[in-house]
Amino acid sequence: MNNKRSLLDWFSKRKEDFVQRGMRKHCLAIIDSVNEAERAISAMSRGDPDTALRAVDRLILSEREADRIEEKLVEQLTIGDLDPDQREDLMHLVKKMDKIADWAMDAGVHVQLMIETGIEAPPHIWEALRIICSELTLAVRLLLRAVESIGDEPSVTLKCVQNIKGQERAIDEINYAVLKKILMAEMDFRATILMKGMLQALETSSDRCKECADTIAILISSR
Amino acid sequence: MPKVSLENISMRFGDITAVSNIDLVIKDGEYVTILGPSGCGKTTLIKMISGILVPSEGRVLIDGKDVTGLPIEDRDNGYVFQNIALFPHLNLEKNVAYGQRVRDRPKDKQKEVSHRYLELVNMLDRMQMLPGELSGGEQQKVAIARALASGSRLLLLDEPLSALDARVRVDLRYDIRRLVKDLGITVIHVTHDQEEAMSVSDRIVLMRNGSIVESDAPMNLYRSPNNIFTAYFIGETNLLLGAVSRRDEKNVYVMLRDGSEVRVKETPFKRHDAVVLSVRPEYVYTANEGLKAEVEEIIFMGTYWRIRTTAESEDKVEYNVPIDNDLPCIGDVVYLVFNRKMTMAYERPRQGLEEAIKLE
Repeated sequence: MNNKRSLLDWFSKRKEDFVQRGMRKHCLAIIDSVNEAERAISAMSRGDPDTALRAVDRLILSEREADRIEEKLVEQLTIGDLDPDQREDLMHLVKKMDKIADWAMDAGVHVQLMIETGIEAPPHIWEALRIICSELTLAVRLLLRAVESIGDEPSVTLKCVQNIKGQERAIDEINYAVLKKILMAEMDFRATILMKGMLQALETSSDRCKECADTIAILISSR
Repeated sequence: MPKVSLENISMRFGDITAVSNIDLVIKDGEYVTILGPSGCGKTTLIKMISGILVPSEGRVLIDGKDVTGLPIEDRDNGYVFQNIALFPHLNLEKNVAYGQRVRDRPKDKQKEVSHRYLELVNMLDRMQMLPGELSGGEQQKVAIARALASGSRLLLLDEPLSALDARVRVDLRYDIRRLVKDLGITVIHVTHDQEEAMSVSDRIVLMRNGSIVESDAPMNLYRSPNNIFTAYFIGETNLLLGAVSRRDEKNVYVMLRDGSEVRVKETPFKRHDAVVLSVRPEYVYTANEGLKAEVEEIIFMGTYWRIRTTAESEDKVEYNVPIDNDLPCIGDVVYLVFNRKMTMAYERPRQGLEEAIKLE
């Protein structure tokens, strides 16, 4: 049995307890983190910092949940009959997935810093960041679909992988335009730093999502 | 008639705390089931009540009398073990009469008591048989008769049905309940089987990690649990993450992952609070509008169908369809609505939902 076959078999066998439950839950916690980042930024674009702070609170809860699930998943990966290289690939996938939530939280922390320091940014900048976040949410949802279909429907998985890459490209394009908006906006230099940091966090989160897609594609195709 | 009181009892085995600071009062004549996942400390608790173990801290009182340090043989308890502990060399009559015999009661009294309790469990006609000639269920009936025949008014049942077949288990649990209620004795029954606990108890004490999570009548624990772990452990439930989006005079709305809103039972949570919703499959219905979901699996459950779906919020939501109703097909889109009064909102646990409902 070649490597590709055995890994897919392993996924199919462990689908019920591992892919469906563990990785799915991890993905959901990541989606929740990105969702809450979007809600926080959206609230800021409406000039509602109280709602934004509550969303950041929930973001932190979701990110911690993602961390806990990641730890359990890595533990799970040590069980079973996987080859070391396969195990390593899957661990990379899980760890990269967790980075999506980590960077979403970083964006949330920037929102919190904006509120706590009382620095203001124009609504159109917030709205531009919200759009990026919304695209990122879609990418993470596609990642969930990819993970759900790994063992059963590799063609669906590969289609999701392609779509995630498309989303990442779209975010990259928006990223340049938003960066330009930030630099041209009339605002305190501290706001520029924080908004740029927030943009970078969202962009990095999107990059990690694409890297996960790449890893999944390698798991399926290249072995 | 015994009333059992546990005052702040704890049990430690080296560095491991099996039971931690438990306060519990079991009323006279009450049938209380101690329920919980494996390793939660329920057997340690019943062993402390019986005197098999002496608590590291706290007191055990029976009818107001402190029996904490009293050895088991000096206590007036009937104890039924999981692994049917009958004397293999004694026939049923002698097994059941054993308690009377060690108390040095007259032989005719021993016989009379043995016959009375064998009759109660419908085993009198087989009193000359040896335990090895009986089925597991019949042996456990005899073990219960022996515990009762000791004259104790407090019966301790330690997973008495776990070693038996499903069918025998169901029959025997009703027999036990009928018997002890007829005799009016106090029962403490330990089990990890929530269905068993629901069907026999006046009250369930739910334990987890050595502590009591919640204690109430089975119906209350099932319909309106105060704790997310109770909702998850007793019966089946759908758990959905969300945040309170708005509230008006009549309703509280919770927004799910996809932005859709569901109404929930009145709750003190404020707008934006992170919550976990719990709704049992029997309180989820299909309608023309509601939470959009795709049917993934249809399972025959005997008296109904269980439909498993994935909602647009990415939550897995299950609902039931009566056996004679039309079924959806796998892949169909359905719209789900929740019975508002039976949709409970709980604070989203700081330690994470997975940790809060973990069984080990």
